Amino acid sequence: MRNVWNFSTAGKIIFGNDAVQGLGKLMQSLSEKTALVVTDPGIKAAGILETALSSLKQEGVSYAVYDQCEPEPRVEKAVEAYDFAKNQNCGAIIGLGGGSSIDLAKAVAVLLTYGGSPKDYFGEFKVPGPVLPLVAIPTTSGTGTEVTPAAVLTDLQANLKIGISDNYIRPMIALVDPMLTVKMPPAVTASTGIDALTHAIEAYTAIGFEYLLAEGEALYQGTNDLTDALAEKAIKLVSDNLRLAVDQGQNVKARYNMALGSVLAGMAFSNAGVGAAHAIAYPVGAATHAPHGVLCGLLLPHVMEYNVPVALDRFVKVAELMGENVRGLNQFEAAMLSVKAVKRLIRDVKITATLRGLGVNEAQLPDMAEKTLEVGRLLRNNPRRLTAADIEGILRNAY
Amino acid sequence: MKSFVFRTPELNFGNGSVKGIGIKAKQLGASRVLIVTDKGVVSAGILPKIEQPLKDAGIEFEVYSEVQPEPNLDSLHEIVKIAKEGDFSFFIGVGGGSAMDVTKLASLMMTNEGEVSDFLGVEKVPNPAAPVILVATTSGTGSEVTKFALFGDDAIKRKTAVSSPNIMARAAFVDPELTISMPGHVTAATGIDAFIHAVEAYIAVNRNPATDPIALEAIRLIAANLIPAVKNGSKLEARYNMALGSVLAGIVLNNAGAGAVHALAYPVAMEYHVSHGISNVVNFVHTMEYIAPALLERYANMAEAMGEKVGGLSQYDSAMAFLKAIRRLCLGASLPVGLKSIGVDPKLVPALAETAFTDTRLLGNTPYVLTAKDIQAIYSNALND
Repeated sequence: MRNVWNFSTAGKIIFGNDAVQGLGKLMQSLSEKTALVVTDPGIKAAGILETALSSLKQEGVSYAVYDQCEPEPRVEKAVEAYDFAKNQNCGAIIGLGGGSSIDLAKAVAVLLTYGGSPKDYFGEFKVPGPVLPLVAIPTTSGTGTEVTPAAVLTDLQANLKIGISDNYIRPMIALVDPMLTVKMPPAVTASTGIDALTHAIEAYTAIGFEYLLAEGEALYQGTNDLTDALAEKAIKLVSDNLRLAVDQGQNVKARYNMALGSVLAGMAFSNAGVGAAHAIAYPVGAATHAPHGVLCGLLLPHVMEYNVPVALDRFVKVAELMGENVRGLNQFEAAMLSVKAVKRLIRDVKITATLRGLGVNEAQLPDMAEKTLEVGRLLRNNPRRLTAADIEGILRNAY
Repeated sequence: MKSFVFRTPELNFGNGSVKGIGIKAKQLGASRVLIVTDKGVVSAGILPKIEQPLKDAGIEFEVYSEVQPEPNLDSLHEIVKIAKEGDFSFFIGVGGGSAMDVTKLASLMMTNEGEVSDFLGVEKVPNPAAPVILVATTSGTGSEVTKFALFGDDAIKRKTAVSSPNIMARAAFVDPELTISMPGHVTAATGIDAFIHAVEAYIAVNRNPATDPIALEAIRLIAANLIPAVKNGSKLEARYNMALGSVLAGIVLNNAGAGAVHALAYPVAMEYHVSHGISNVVNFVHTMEYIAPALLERYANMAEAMGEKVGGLSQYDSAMAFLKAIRRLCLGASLPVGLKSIGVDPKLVPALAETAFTDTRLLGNTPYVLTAKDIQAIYSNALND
């Protein structure tokens, strides 16, 4: 039994509409050297990069821009960005974009601080110490990476996602400006929003920290009262606002609440951990290259259904937070309403609901189940034990 | 939909969590550490629990244990002198609010030129302070996770405060087992302090959507556990939940701030030399009653968090249930709810109100505009209770 939990988040979270306009002043206070901006062509095309740069210009902050990030970036991209940045006298790093750009910025921050190659830092607790000041500016509402200790890259040769996980790479500052998400297309809003919901629900229904099967320090530690309070609020915010954000992209209030829900979910899951939906999403993602949020959303209700029996009271609360009427029902029926509510939300925001719909071949399922077992650091947070056969069952239900 | 900022230092929570303090200090680059604490902590036998893990991690340290309750400038100057002469660049503050606050002040004096009075007020500290780890041994102040450091200035009879993120700890340790030996009256005074932090943060002008859920959780935990912790102190579960509620309250205090109760408390604390917790509680219930009309919905939510049955009640009645519940909580923990208990002289009320009225930082964070006359009225109500 574990007695201690530990809670970390970004050093500082700055949240609000038009917050990005304070970027110049912020960078000035962090370093006199060049600020490296890591972003992608989409952000540039949407004019978001220009908004950020104009604030830097206004304050006379010198900067260099690497704008060649790609979705689910390959390890090579981290090397490329590092090669671009290493002779630029960079004193701070700005990750501007979705999860991919921010994760790449985290990897580059490690490389600029300690040199070497990305693989030197793959795994947990491999970063030797603090990294250069890192500012994360998300342009989607979902990944929560602006407050988390993880940077995920893709290893194409091995066809798997691989990551750097260490509290040292939690951004020094998370600058969250909901106005940057207003032009996000509906499909991206939906998939990233469902990612946030998955973070919140998996963090809320993770194993209690007392019973995590782990020795010594762990990043993902199971639930505690602080992560519970954050996750509950996140579930409610996402559940109440995702449909509006998808179908009325210009609805600033819905965008605000989604951005908030995403950050709170990030604060919760980056301490409590996520569970089987995320673990299973890894091998399925390697096979399909579907967006992370789509995979999580597709798997979430089936994983919840599997987990319900061991966490009835928590799933009842999820149902309530999602607006279900649980009065007069027995606990099991009430808990199952949470599964129903999630399925309905996924349908309403038009997320692909089956693995078949993603082009997965039924014959691949046993292999995916086997590969899921390799993501032990996530599975140990799941409240219910899983064998390969159990995972295959979940995959079949999702097929 | 206004903007907000949210900050909190790394928190290590749980029974036995201080065993990890050596490794953490090492990670944060400590080699020579000055431990700042008080005699009470020493006599409670807490110090070895800090020293052993430091020794195991190969960290050199010395101990300064002369911090006074509600410390003044003398002990601060002494600590800074010892640190500078002894080449200490890392501090561990162990204790209640007094020890932790003076540690924060000392750490800022190490890296900022000037007198402590130069740094009073909001965001007046130019450079990050020397690194600090804070270990809470009471469940109340939340100082381990806040940017505030308070001290009494005897010369001007004022409580003054430094408020700057540059003095926040690098890591906070909250170990409920360290609070077991706290006497009942200290448990009560510090515990209600935490409760008041959570309540004031929940209604604060500067509250934000991230602080709200944490504040309600703190209110729920403290409401359910304060009386058991006071009256049956060996009950570890109550101690645990109080420690948790207290640190959550500290997190929201740090990000949403306190309000009128604290503004009214400081002049009373300076004049009558009562502890911070007591000076708060003697003003708490009457302040909350006075400002209730502007805050019915928030009060109703807090009533529910305190376990009151509000289903079927009007919002007004739910808010009244909150007022009844807080009075019951204070009385149940053997705490006074008015000024009579500390013998406040009615003739001093106008002067106290004038002093309280100058605290624009706290009054500006109160969701009810209070004039000096209003404050006099609250003190007068509290005098008769």
